[in-house]
Amino acid sequence: MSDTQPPNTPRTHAAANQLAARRLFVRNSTLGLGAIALASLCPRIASSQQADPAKLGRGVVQPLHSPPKAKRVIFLCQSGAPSQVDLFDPKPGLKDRHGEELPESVRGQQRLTTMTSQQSAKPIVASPWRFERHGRCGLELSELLPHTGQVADELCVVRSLYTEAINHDPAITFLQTGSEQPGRPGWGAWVSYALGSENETLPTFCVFISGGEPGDQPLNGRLWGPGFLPTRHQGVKFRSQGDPVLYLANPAGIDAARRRRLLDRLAELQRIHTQSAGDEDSVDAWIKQFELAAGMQTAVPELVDLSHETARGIDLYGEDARRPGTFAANCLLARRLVERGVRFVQLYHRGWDHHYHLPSKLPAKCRQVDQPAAALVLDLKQRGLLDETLVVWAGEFGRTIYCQGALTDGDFGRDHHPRCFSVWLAGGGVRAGAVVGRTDEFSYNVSENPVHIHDLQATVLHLLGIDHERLTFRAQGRDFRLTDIAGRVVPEIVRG
Amino acid sequence: MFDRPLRREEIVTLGGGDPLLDWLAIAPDRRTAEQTQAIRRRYLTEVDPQFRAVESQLREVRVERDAFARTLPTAMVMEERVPARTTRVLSRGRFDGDGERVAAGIPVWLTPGVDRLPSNRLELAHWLFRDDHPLTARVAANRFWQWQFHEGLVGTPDDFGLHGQRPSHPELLDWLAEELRSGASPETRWDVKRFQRLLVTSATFRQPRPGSGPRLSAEAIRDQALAASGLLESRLEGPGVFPYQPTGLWEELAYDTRQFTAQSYRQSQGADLYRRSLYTFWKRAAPPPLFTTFDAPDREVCTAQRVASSSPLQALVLMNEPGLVEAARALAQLAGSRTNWAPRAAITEAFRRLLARPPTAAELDQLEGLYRDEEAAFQRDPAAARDWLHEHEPSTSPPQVLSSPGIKASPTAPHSVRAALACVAHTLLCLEETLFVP
Repeated sequence: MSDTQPPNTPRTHAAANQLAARRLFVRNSTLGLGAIALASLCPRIASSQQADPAKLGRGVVQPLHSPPKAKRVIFLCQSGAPSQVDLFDPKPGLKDRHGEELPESVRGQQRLTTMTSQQSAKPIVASPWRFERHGRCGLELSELLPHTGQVADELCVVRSLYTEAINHDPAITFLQTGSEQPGRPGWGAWVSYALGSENETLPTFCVFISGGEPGDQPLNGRLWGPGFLPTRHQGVKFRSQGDPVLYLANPAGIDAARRRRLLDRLAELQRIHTQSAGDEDSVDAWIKQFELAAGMQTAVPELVDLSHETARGIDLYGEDARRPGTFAANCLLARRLVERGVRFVQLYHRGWDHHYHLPSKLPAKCRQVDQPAAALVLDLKQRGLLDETLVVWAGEFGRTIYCQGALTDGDFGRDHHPRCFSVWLAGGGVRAGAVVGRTDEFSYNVSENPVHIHDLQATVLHLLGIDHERLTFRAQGRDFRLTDIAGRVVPEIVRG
Repeated sequence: MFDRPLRREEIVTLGGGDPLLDWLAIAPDRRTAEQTQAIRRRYLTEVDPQFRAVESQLREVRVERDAFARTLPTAMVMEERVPARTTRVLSRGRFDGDGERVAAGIPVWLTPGVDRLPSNRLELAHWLFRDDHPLTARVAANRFWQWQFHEGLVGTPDDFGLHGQRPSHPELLDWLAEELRSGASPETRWDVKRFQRLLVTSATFRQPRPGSGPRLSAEAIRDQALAASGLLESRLEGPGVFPYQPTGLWEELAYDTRQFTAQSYRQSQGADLYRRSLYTFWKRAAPPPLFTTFDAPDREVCTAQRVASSSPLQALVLMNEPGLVEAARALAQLAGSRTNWAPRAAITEAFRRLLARPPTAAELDQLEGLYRDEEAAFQRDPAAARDWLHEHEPSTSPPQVLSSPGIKASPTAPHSVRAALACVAHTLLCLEETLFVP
C-alpha cells in the first residue's frame, strides 16, 4: 500500500492493512488453497467489528441475521454437574445390572478423573429413584423433580449433550465462554454485545449466585466477564446483602435531593467546560452516564422490592423465595428483570458436585431448585413472556453411572462424566414437550443426535436471531466467536 | 510376630532392657564396630559435658537459622531437567504413541541468518537481545512510548505483524529503538529509566494536546484521587495490600473459606489502605470491582492494551465508592485547612490540586454556588453533615472503618463548612476532565 495514506484514521488504516496483508499473503504464501480461503474470509472481518454502536444500548447485530424467536435469556446454571441418570435420563435396565462392573466396551478409551481411575472396581449404580411420565407429552422425569414435571409440556429436554472437559473449572468455562481456556467473553457478554439493551436503567447482563457451601465448586468472574469485548458488556453481579448492585446507594449524608443538586451542578460544570473545549458529544455522553446511574438508583431498588407482588405470586416459587440470596429468590428476580427488558439473566446455583453421599445430597439440592425453576417457566407463561424468553437449565457435564467410592446399600457417589448429560430449555422458540437425543442403555454414551456445547450455544444464538458464525470479534489477530470454530444449530430443538 | 529372626539386642530392648550394658561387659578389642559406635554415641550424648554443651548450642543455632530462613523471601525458579525429557509428536493426541522425536526450538524461518538457534530459555533470552534482532527494541520502545503518550507509535502494541498497524512515524520508532538498545554508552544499553527520561523531557512530551487525551487507567484514577487529597502512601515495595472492598465478594465464589488461601477478604489497616493501586492484592477470580469497572482486565490472559469503555456503573463508582468519597473529604480537609476555610480560596486550592489548573471564573462561580447551597442545607441538617464527614459506607452495609485513618480533623471549621467543601471536592472527582489525560 502507498505511504501516502493518512495515518490517523484507524478504520481506513486497519482496512488498508488488511488489504495489504491479503495481497502479501497470497503472493508469498506457499499454502495455495489456504490463501484463497483467507481471501474469502476477509470480507467477514469487517462485518461485526467495525459497526461499533456509538449510542448506548444498541447491539452490533443490526439487522438481525434471522427472525428471532427469543428476545431474552434466563440461564439457570447448575454448578457442580447434576446427575443425569438420577434426574432426566431414565435407565430402568440398569436395575438388573446394579452392582455389576461397568463393561470395558462401554467405557472404551474415555479418560477418567484421577478420583476414580485408580478404583479397582467401578460398579454400576442404578438410580434409586422412580421415573414417571408427565404432561401431555409424557416426559419421563425423576420423582426428585415433581414441580418440573408440572411444566413438562413447556420443556425441551436434551439428553445428548456432551463435552470434552472433565473437570469443573475448564468445563464451566467451556459452557459459559465456548473454550476451556480463560480469556473469552461470557455468553451473556456476547448477547449484550450482539443485541444491546432494551432498558438502560438496568444492567443488560445480570448475574446471581446462590447455594454455595464450604467445599462446593468455586466460581470465577471470567464466567460473566467481558473477555476481549468492551468492558461494558460484563455481567453485573446482584447481591443479597448490602447494595443489590455494587456502589448503588448514596453515601450517608447524601440523600436523593442532595444527589440531584450535585448532579445538576456537575452538568453545569461540564457544559461550561464544553464551551471552551468544543467537544459536545463527549460531554453529553459523560453526563448521560450519571443520569443513567441515577436512574439505576431508582430502578434497582424498585426491582428488588417485592411489596407489590402478591403473596400467591411469591409462593409459586416456594418459601425460599422470601429469603434473599436463595435460588428461588433469584428466579423471582429473574422474572422481574425480563419483565423490565433485561437481555440476559444468569443464575448460578452451586453444590451439585455429588462425589459422595449422593442419596442424601441430591434430593436436598433438588428441593432448592425444582420448584423455583418450574415456577419461573409457569410464571413467564402466565404473564405472556415465555414466548420471547428463553430459559436454559444446564450444568457443565454429567455424572458417571458407576460408583465413586464404596457402593453400599444406603450410600454411593458419582464421578464426573463429560460424554453425555442432560439439559432442558423452555420458551423462546424452543420445541415444547419434546425430547432431543438419546444415550445408550448405560447413560454413558450418546447414541442418537449428539449435541455438543458449541451446538447448544449455536442454537441459543439462533433462537435470538443471531448467526453464531457471523457474531465475531477480532482480538489477538483472530476472529473469535462464542462457538469458536465449531457448532451447529440443532433443528430438533427449534420449534417450527 | 516378626517375619525375621531378631538380633539379641533387639530382644533385650523389646524386653525392656538396655543392650549397651551387655556390650560394656565385652572387652573393647572384642567389640564389633557397631557396638563400639553405639557405646561412643551414648557416652557423648549422655555423659560427656563438653559434647552436650556444644550439641545444645548447635540445636539453638539451628533454630535461629531456620527462623531467619523463614523471613527470607522465596522465589520459585525453573531449571532444565537433566536428562532432558524425550518429547515426541503425539499423533491424534495419543500420549503413548511413538511419533517423531522433537526438541525445543524456534522455527527456522523466524530466525534467518542465525547460525546457532536457541534451544532453552537462556538462549531464547540471548536471541531476543541480539543487536540484529528486528523486533525486541522496537516493541519495547513502542510500549514505553505508549505508557507516556497513551497511544503507541504502533497502534497494535501486541501485533507488529502483517495484521498489525504500521507505525505512524516509522523513522522515529527506529531511532527510539536504537536509543533504547544502544543507550548513551555501553553502561546504559537497554536502560529503561534513561529511556523514560528521554521521552518525558522531550519537546514532544511538552506539546499541548489538541482536545483531551485518553482516559486514565483504573489504577491511575484511584491513585490520582489519593495523591491530590494527600492520602497517598508512597512507601515502596513489600507485600500487597487489601484496600476497601464491599464485603463478601470473595466468599460468595470461594471454594472453602476454612482452609484455603485468598478465600476471605481481610481489609488492610491504616496507611496500607492508601498505597498505590499497583500494590492491591489481585484475586483473578474476583478482581477488585473498582478497577474492573474502569476496564482493568482480570489478568487471566495478557492484555497489552486496554480499551476505555463508558457505562453508568462507572458513574456509580465515582459517586459512591467509599475510597473515592473518603478522598473527596480528605481533599476538602487539605484545601480548607490551607486556606483557612475561605470558600473561594479553598475551592480554588482543591481545583488546582486535582486538575492542575485554576478554575475559570464561570467554574468558580458554579462551585461557589454549590458550596453555598450545601452549606446552608447542612446547617439545617447537621446530622447529615456528620454522616457525610465521618461515615463512608452506605447505610445498608456495616461500616468497616468508623473513622478515616488518613484524615486529621481540623477543629476550627464547623461541620457544615467542611461537609459543603467535601461536596465540592466530590463533584470535582466526578468531572470528565479529572479522569482524562490533559
